[in-house]
Amino acid sequence: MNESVLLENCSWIVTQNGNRDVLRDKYIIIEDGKIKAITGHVESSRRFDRVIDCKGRVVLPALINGHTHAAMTLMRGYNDDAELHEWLDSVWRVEAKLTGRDVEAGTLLACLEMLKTGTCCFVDMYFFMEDAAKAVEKAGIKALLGYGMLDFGNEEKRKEELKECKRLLELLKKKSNRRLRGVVAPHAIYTCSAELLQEAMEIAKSYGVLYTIHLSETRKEVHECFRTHRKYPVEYLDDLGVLNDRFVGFHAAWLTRNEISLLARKGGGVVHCPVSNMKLATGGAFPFREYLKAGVLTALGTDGACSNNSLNMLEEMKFAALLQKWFRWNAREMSAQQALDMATVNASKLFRLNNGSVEPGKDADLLVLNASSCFMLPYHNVVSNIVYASSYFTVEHVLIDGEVVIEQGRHTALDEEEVISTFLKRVESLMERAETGDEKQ
Amino acid sequence: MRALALLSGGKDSWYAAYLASLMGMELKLAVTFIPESKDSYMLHYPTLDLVPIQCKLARISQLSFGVSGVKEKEVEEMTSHLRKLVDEYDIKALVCGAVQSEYQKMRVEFIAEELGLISYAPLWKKDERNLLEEIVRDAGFRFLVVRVAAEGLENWIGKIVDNRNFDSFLNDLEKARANPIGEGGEYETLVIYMPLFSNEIRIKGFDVLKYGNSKEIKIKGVN
Repeated sequence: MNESVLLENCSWIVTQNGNRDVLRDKYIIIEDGKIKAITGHVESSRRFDRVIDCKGRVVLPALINGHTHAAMTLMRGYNDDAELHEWLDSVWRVEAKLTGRDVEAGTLLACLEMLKTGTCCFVDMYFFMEDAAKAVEKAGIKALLGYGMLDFGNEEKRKEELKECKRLLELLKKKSNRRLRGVVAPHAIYTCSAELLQEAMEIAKSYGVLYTIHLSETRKEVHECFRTHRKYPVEYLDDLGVLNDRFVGFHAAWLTRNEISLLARKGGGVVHCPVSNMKLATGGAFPFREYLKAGVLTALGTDGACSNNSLNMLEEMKFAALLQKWFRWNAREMSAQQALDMATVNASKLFRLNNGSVEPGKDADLLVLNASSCFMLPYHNVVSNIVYASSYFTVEHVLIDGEVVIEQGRHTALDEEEVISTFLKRVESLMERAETGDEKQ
Repeated sequence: MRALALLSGGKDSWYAAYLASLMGMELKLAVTFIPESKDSYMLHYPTLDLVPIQCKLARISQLSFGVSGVKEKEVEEMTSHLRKLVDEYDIKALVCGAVQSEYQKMRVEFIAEELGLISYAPLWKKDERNLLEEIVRDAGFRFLVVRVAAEGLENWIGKIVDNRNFDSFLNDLEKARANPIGEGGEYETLVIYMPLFSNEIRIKGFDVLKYGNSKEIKIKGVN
């Protein structure tokens, strides 16, 4: 892409740079998908392919959703308010009937929702990932896709899962689409054998990708691990040799101090999913202060739309900050700035991306919010407004690699009505199959 | 929600029980575990035999059970004692006063998980100094210092701490660089008055016993 874009008269730029500078009344020049300069003046003779007026707007790095199962939009609102294991059983019954076409339609709707709520990149773990990749490419969003592996100790199944994992990584490599990357994604320690967990890390190393896994989401899995191995989950994973700087744990709500220092020493990171944890009543509260003190990188994720039930990172930042304050009885816990860091600069670092801050050289993955809307007034603290007061109504534009993907709240390339209509047809068909046991697609 | 409170008689377990009652939980039963070994990982307490008196004043049924005090084995023993009570009293939640001790908190979680209960640990990871201030200044607890094991706190053995001398107690804790809540074993307490008690416990007298660097009191009797 050789387009040059000018964001002119940016009333606020929340840079998320090292000083966390908030700049006033500047211009952002974008060339070849990257931020070229942030300047107070642009020559009137200079021509740009695209000029966007950002007066009364706040420009910030677009958000990164560190953990989701995108296609679970298909099951949004299905069996809500049920006990965790009852809920899981019902979801698995439906998932058993999933097809690639379902996953493509579900992922495409998820991409649309994420983009419209200011997200430029997400980290996915699911099935039929080749079809998920098609949706991601259509939507123009960035994604790290992982095939969710589970073997329940079955050797044959393990071989198949590892093969599928490699197949996806090969496929993504061949596509050489810079917005699409692969990750290795063993589901969890309670669904994967030690062998699978170890071999998955070997794959991650050979492909140079990250290793993502659900980690200590519930008290039950921690207890099971302790009963079986007389060790806590992170200690167990360390014994298996899979703890290193490729390791990213999702949820990570029930970790002891020793596990946190182990993670810090080995260079692993974690993704907090506050809404999902609260909705599924998993009990533990993410030990944010302890991670911060130990130097463990922390990001934020929505988890799937079936346990959230939205994929809105603006909401997720607010919930993350509120949960810490509520749990610790301390209003100083997790500031708005720290929540924003988790959704931008920290996530970018954790997932080895080149975005997350508005600085020259970074990918132009930007979010433009309408700071003049009634939700965002007055202007005492623009970061606080973003985290505590903004909503998807305030999302005006989302740029990815300098390309305007969302403009005035609408997708610039997708026919949104068509996406929705296809999605609803797939949901109807999937539910019919789940209820009748029919295998037809 | 019917709750069972794990009570040692000290300020933390009683404050957790008090908060549970403020949260609308029905404190059906209190259980006190008495370790045979003084080295118990879970349970340290010199005045466990006074918990029944406290519970009587708070009108909460109370049971005490002996456990070995041996690491992990005592957790199984506690689970087995509680299992019988959970059905009998239709208990749904386990209340404990852990603040920073991961060993204690995780074992309570394991017991609760095993028995299908939620755990309610309202003091968990709260700021210790704020907690102590709340307990004494806001909730009006009065407690007797029954054990001290930190240099600079020796003079507090056998003294009652309440709103009247709280500043001086805080001052000495700070000087001694002791954990404000005493989670490192710097001091231990016996609650003699808190809002759920109908009366204050009056201590008739006590002897001070020395164990190495720590001092402990042996209470002669109460009114």
